[in-house]
Amino acid sequence: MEPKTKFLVTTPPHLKAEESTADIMRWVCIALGPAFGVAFYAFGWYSLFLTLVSVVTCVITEAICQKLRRVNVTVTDFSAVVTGLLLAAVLPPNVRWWVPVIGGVFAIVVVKQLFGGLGSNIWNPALAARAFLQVSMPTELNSPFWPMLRDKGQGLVDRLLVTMNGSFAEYAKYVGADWMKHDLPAVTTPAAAIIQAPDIISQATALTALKSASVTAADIVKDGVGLQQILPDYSQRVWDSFIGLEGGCIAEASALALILGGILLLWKKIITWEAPVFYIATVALLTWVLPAPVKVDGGATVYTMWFSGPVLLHLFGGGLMLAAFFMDTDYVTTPMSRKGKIIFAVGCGLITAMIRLYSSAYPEGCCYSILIMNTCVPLIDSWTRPKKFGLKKAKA
Amino acid sequence: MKKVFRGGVHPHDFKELSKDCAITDAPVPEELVVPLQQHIGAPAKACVAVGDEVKRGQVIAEPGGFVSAAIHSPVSGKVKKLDTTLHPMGMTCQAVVITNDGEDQWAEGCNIEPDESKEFTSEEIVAAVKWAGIVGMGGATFPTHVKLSPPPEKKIDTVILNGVECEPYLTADYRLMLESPRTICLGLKLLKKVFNAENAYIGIEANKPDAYEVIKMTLAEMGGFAEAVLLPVMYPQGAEKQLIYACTQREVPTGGLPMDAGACVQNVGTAHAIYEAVYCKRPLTERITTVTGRGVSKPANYRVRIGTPAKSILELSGFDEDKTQKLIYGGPMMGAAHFDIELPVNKGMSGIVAMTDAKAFIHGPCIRCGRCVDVCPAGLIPSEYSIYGEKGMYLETAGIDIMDCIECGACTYICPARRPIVQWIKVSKAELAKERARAAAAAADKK
Repeated sequence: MEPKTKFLVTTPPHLKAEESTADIMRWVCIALGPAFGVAFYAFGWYSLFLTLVSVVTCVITEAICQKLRRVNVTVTDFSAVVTGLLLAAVLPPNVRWWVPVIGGVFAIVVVKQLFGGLGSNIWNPALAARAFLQVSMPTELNSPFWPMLRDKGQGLVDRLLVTMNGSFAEYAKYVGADWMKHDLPAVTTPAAAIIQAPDIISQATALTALKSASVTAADIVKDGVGLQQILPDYSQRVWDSFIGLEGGCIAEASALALILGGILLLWKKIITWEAPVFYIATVALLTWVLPAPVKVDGGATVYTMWFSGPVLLHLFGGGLMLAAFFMDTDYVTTPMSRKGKIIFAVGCGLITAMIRLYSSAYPEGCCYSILIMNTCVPLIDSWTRPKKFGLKKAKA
Repeated sequence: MKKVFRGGVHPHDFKELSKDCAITDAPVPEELVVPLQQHIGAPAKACVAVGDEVKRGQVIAEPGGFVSAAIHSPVSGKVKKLDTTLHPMGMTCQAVVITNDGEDQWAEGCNIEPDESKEFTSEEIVAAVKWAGIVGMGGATFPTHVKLSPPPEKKIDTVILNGVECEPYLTADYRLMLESPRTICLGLKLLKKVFNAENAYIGIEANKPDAYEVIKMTLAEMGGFAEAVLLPVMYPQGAEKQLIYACTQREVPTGGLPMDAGACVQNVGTAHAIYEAVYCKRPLTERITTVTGRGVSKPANYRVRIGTPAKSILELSGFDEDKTQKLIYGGPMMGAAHFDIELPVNKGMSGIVAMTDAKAFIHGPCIRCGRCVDVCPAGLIPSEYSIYGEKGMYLETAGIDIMDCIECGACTYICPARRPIVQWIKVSKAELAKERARAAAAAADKK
């Protein structure tokens, strides 16, 4: 029979919740805003450049892959943008420009599209790319010395002038090519002078300092060594990590900004509280309770005391907050049920703490812990299927 | 008020459009098209011929089997022809076309003065329900007499009336509860009598507090034989299994029917129809239908004869065909969209919604957000069915409890990737049924 009207005929339900996939992805981008804001402020606009390179690479690569796969090009769903942002988030602010390009292509082609695109990937694309880069170009990524512009008594306006007005070429030259030599380029232009004036510091990040700490035999007391001996400026570094004055990867600078973004996602009900809370709690508990090995004069190993670990530094330093709110809440690569999310988060916390405390080389553990737990997701999902309605026996 | 069942969604209910419109009688048209498939089960068989004179309430089609229902003439007049008509679910079905003579004469023995002091036996009530062709008036249209005739080993101790009306837009049950609480409660009393049930409840959603008060008062006046239960506003609160759980905390066992939990659920409109059938000897020839949505200028609740073309009540409500983008027969969560505006009103048509902001979506991949799992009242993982369905792997869904799905569509409502999950589930269930039939036929061949 010929339709006599122009009415739309679709399957029910005819009402739909407002929020679409693209809306969710946009909220994740917005929630990353504060963290990137602090990063651009702290590391200057080379980090903004790297972020743009990463995002553009991911979006273009996704479009090309989908063309080749002959499926709809869906870059407007913002998922490639989120991948690009998260990849930039876990890169040091001074890598050369082609690092995010290689990482972005790897994340999209190998980790995402080869497995079937959005929704089908097993691992978090950004973290898998970070791990790939780490093993392929360790010197580019692993140097413990990450320069940052550090404000020493100057006002906000001066700071902004430095990052906004500073010659891009000068800054890029410094961070892109010469930084590994640890000697500053000659001051030739006023802009460069401003950049250097506020004290560009090159120092080990807090977690690296913790890892590579060394004590003398005299520091050892009866039960082991105390925190004071390992890291004398502990409380200062905790505060710096919290507000964003500590070096680190681009969006990892400020725990505070990441927590704000996480609260936004929780408030918009994009993520649920289970994964972040259990992840953070597990890491906090283990790093507080367990003794960590410390070298004595670069030789023998002694352990720190029980129940006295540098919890706050572990929580605010490095990528823990980024991982807690943005990585282990990723829909695709984490379990679907709430119980599953808890198991996943506790597993991540356990592995993170083990790597941070007992690995010989890595001060960080977030990336690998999440990738390992990503692999376990199908198993966790099969353990934690919801209880279906109609199994409860009637009361006799 | 605590949340009484797992999952659920809460779409805006749009009931404000028509909730204050008192029920009015829709004019009876010149010509009525009475479909013979107005219920779940076998279609009814026409028992009148072209040219026959019929009276209102006269049987024009006999039940086509046990799970079927009789159909009565909604007016007095003449059978014009036997024809086919479109069904809201998309197929066509047989129909009896009757020309109205305007006299509205009842058939002999019908429409008597109700004597509410009279007592009826269980058998009398079931026989009257069967005679009157009553089906589930909430939209499911399952023949009511079948529900009232459980196998003898199933003891039903609880009767529940469904006054939840959790579908957005619809206000037909709400208006009926407000305007005719007495007949609904008497209908419930009859149902209680059928099973000699110990408990009786009327479940009403908290967005209808006035209906709850009215029903509660009426029940109190009648001696408190049943309890009105105020339920949280949550779709699908009106689903049978969820309503039983809310009222009694009993779960209908998986794969079972309400009677396996000792309960029988009927819509408030059905209770009203049972009252009319038993006390007034009036078979089911009319129902309350809400006409609403932004595509009509005067939303309304009509008492409308079965067989009235939708067009006539739509036009009465100021239907704007150009503004309307989607026409839904039933509620927007489970009702059917249709291109035709002349479908006849049937026994299950609780509403006609003219939507002006309908969108067609292109679905994306499942992003495993888990929202469908959170909202599924049956405790399933709906996304799994959608992933199998999308690939055409319908039979694989048998192992993951697909038969426990109640097809409420909450998963599809909430899905951010706009995946038509419930549609894939329906297709999978149909394919599984076909496969079972094939297997049964193969087994029979072997013998």
